[in-house]
Amino acid sequence: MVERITGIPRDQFLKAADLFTSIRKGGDMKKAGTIIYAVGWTQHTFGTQIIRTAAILQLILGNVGRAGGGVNALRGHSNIQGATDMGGVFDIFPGYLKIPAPTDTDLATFLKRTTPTPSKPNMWDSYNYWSNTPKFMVSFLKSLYGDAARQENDFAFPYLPKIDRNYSWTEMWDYMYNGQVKGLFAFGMNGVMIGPNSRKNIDALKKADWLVVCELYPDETSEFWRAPGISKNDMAKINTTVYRLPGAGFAEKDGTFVNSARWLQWKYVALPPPGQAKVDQEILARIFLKVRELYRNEGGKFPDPILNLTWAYTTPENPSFAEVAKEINGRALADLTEPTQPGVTIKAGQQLPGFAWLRDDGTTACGNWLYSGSWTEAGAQMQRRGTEDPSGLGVYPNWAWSWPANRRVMYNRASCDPSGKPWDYERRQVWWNEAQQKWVGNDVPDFKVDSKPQDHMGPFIMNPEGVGRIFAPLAAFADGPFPEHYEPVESPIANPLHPNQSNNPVAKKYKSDLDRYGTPEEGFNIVCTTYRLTEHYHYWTKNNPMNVQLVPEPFVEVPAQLADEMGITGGEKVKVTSARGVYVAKAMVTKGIKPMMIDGKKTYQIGIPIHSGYRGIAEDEGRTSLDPANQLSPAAIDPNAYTPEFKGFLVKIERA
Amino acid sequence: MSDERTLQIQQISAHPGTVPGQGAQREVEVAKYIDVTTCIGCKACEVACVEWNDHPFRETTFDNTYQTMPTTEWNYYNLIKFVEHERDGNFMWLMRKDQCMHCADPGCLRACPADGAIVQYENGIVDFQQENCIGCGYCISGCPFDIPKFNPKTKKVFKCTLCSDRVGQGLEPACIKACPTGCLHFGTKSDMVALANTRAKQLREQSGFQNAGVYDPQSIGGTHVIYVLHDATQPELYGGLPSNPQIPPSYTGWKWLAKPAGLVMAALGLLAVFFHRVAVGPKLPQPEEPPPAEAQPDTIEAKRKEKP
Repeated sequence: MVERITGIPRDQFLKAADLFTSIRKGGDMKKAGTIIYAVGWTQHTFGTQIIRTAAILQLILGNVGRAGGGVNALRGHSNIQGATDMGGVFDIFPGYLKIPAPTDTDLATFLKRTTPTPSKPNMWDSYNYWSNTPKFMVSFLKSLYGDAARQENDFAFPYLPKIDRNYSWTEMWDYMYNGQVKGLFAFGMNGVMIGPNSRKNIDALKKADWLVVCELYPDETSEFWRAPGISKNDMAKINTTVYRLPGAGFAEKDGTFVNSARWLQWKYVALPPPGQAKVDQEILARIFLKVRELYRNEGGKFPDPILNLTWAYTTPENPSFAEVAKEINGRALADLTEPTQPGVTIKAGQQLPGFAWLRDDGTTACGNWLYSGSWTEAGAQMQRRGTEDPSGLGVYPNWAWSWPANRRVMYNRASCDPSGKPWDYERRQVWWNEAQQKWVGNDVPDFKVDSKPQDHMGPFIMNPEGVGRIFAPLAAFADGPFPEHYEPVESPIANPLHPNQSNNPVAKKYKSDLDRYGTPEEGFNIVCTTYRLTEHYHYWTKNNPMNVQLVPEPFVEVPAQLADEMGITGGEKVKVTSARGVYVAKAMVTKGIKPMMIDGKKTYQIGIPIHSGYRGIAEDEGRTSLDPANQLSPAAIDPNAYTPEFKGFLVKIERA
Repeated sequence: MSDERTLQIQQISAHPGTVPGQGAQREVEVAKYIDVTTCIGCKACEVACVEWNDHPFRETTFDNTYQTMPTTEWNYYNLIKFVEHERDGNFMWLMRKDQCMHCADPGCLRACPADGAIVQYENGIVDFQQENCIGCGYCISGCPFDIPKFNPKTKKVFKCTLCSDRVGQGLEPACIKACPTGCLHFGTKSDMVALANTRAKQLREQSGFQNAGVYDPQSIGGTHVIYVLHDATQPELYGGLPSNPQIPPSYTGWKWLAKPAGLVMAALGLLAVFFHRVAVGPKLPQPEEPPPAEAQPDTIEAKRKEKP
């Protein structure tokens, strides 16, 4: 069945499966196996289920919490982890706190809904660390609203926005296309290029009233009216007001990058922004201060959240990132003592040493509980550059700072057997010290530090059950408690497992006139996938002559066999058509992509790098095709993470 | 390197015993070791090379390949050659970083007729000194790896310097610093050969590449850039790496035969001049043309006066 669905020959699949599971041969618990994936795994309408499957496999094999184990994402940007940690997604606040819904009429209701209660399956006790949610949330509110957040006004909880619907990326553009979203701030995101179904996104911008773009270069979004296919006449009819703000590049700003291993690494300014360009925080601060001034002078429906927002920076119109980082770490608002740490007092105004000190009574402020401990009274922990590795395991505890609590491997209690002895003594991470009656180790134990092994507390302390989730509880996932194989929304075959429900029943498809989905019966018989090249970084390196020199033009990778059948020679132009659009570029004929036997059918796949568009050095010289690759891809999204299906859709190909 | 050697201590005042480090063997020969099997073809080395050498950007064209351009150029010293290869029916990329090999016996240097245009340092780096280059291009034909390239504008020849300017300051070459996978290494020649051999053994014993080996061709005395190849028996697969590189015989001949022969000819010429002088005597000054008739008596008169 695996062979029928994936096209991987049976013997090859078994060989790989045998190799991966061989680490536990004969009950050997010493070895660890890792799964490292690029985010292509997530770019399917069943992407979350793929990641779930990997997690289940690792749980069953005992590869979680182990040095050299885990499910590790290679993320697409240097700071995607940081963006997610800091709530750069519509449905979470910093530290993965949930965002309130309209039904959360007060703080107590919200906390009751979002604070999990422990559940204790069988013999396992449960730490249920998320039971601290009220401390994290109140401290977050105190960091936002300071003195305006008081016990009697629910710590300003009513100031927070309540999210009534899905505002994820693809939805937002759909709302704009349907005329409901009237304006867009685009910072560091080339919206036209990055989302699926570019044509629809370009048309959506035509309908917007205004667009603010903060970028290093003029890009496809800030000049969407120059998209191929828009005539001079059409251009004259576009009434969108576009404001372009010259931003600063990564080397012109300090601050942190948070990598996939959760390390906060401070970086320094290499050179000042050129000309009139400004750093992001100055641009945002100036807009905010202007908006606040307008609210102050003219009032408004609900000015309190704007007027009361904490903005106590030395330079209000250009807050330093050091100050922001300290604010995120959190500080004491009153003298604090902790029963578990007798004799230690954190004085009011001092930086907090970690999230264990957070309070739900308004005596602490913290912008993101996970980052608490990153900038303490001892200084900026993320600026540390210690290269010592005392355990020899590659822990490097003094290099930068890893959330949570500078812990390098999460759930590391699972690296020990139930009695608290490491599965592999040679590579021991943490262990139970009987003499000291606590957990100690080469890494910071990810566990209740004084919980005796005999107490049987589960190692997965962030789950209310305390154990790993092979079968997920109700409503944890939109598409069910256990992974299931679905075909992409556009697939060359019907799902051999259940042809009547071929694809994910809860995957989101859109209904606009431009959201069309193709079938093999209509002639869309080639599988297409999109990807990046190592030579380019998304859409802006095409403004750098060096990168353009490395890969000067867009191309379509075509399997050699398919090229032979169709008489396509390398370097000649081919036309790729999906139900949504057309893409023309030169063919790169390669032996690297081979035909697959999918459900008994010889199936070809082609690949298109996503970088080129209609703005850039080669583009401006008229040297490339000008089409965004995402003109082809469908707006169909995973129901959990809302990631579009870039990694498998249907096209046809012909000589152009 | 030279600094280190000149500042080596010879004597120490009032010091009991021998001078520390005296007689110790010092490694001066350097090498770049390229593990072709862990290269991902990202071209970071190409960029680092262009940027360190402050080269202008070239306009390139798409040519049905990931390879940036067909060959290295006078302002593009470092190029990854991309080869699509099938092994037991499975596809694999062969990606080889191509640049000057810094041969122990450099064909370019042998071929070069210009005094001081090509030097080989004691550390093994072969470096072109463009101020002495006469642009004859002999080095190009002398190279078994097709590396030196002519700049038609300046009429000089250029190639990878192994970042002799960086290495001289104790830094690794720019390409090494930029490599994100660690497939590029730099150190003493013996360390690099040892590291490469270890890797080749690992590939043979653990990764199923029975023919894995180190490329350090002895036909030119070894090189200061060495490779680990999945299949060292077929270096040609890797974008035309010669299995037995040779300096063209005209240049080896020139050095060992033609040049002495030329010297002999020159000596013979000098001898001929000498014997001609002895046998025929010196060439006397001759009047350019006979003097006019009326002037003759004066001359005779003058000669007469000279006589005592």
